[in-house]
Amino acid sequence: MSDTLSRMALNDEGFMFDPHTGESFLINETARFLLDGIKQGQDAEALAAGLSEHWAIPTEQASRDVTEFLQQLRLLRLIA
Amino acid sequence: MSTVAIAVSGINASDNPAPGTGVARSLKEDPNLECRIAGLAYDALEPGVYLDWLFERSFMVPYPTASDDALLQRILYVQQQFGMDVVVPTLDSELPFYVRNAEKLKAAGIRALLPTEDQFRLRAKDHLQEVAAQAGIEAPAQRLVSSHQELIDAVQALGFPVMIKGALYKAYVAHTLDAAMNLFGRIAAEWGYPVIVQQRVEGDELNVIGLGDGEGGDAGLVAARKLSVTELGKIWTGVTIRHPQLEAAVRRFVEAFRWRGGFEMECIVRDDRIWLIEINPRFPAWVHFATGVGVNLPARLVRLALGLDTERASDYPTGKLYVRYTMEQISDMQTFQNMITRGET
Repeated sequence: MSDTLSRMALNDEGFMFDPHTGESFLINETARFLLDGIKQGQDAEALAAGLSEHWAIPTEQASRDVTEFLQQLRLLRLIA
Repeated sequence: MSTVAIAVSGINASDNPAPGTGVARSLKEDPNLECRIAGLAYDALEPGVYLDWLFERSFMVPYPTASDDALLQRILYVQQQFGMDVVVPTLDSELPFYVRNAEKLKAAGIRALLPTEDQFRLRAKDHLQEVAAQAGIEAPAQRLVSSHQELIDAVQALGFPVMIKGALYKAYVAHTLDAAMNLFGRIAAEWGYPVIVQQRVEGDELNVIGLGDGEGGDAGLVAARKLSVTELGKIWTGVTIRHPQLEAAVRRFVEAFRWRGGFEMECIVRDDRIWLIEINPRFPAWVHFATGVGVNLPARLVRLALGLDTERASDYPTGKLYVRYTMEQISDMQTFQNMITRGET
């Protein structure tokens, strides 16, 4: 997990705050699920498998969603 | 400690607020500092004049450009009328006067904690690279220009967008040559030459307020991110942060230059890179934010100015919000009349 993600403060209502930069984010339930997976060290494939199982969606769709989510995290410089 | 008489300038709490009222609030909020505060005003309608819970009295003072002697005599008059153990000037335009006359004021019993003349010169934007290097961080590439051709050469070398800045005040972003020309003309007309053309760096704008003890150490730092700003670019809301690399850079700056007095460092941070954008050689207008999170820098400055020990810790929580708001004060025409006719409340 990136240093950036590891230092984030995240509450039960999905408010995420970076104490180094003061940036804040509002994340939904799906993002929370994926971030928990990232914190556990899951790779993209495992994240997609988890997403697919948890929300009963096709694996292909889950893979696309995970790819897009990870890209968003990169654009926000939350992961490398 | 007996009651300390302190004079504070920059008491214009307008839409472009000066630091004075934040300094005064901070001083009043220190439970271990008994103080009386005189406001030094350049205009009778500076709001601080009417905030009598912060300033026991206020006095009109002449602009520092009038002459050193005029302002010096006025300060000595204020000392005579009100007392003055410490003076806390908060405006860039008057700092050179206070720095030049520090020994004269000290001989009259008026203490201050101010940068030296050499330190004060560091604020000039043409010293940015030097300061950044000593702090172990970067500074955006820039050119000093004094003509249209130099401006054209500069933007071609740096590429758009660029920041067009006055040597001491004002900064605007320009995305085109037309915009750059227009801004160059405006800044030159108001503030003269040179005008600074600076590479625009993308990232998070993070600011640090601090106090140097003049011996290479600091007596407190607080870092913050601006969350919203006014049309004039002044902070309206902010949040405290702790950025270890940024704090280390600020401490290197304080140590390298043995900075004395209040200061603000404005930086852009992106990933592991830090760029120094500006150094202000005095507290910024958001000084009370630091006080509000437990780091009362003005009170610490007064203690250091008096040669006393002071707290130096920078223990403060992240995620504390600063919210500026507009409040009105009902006063009396008599106060305005006194400022106009007598020059004092």
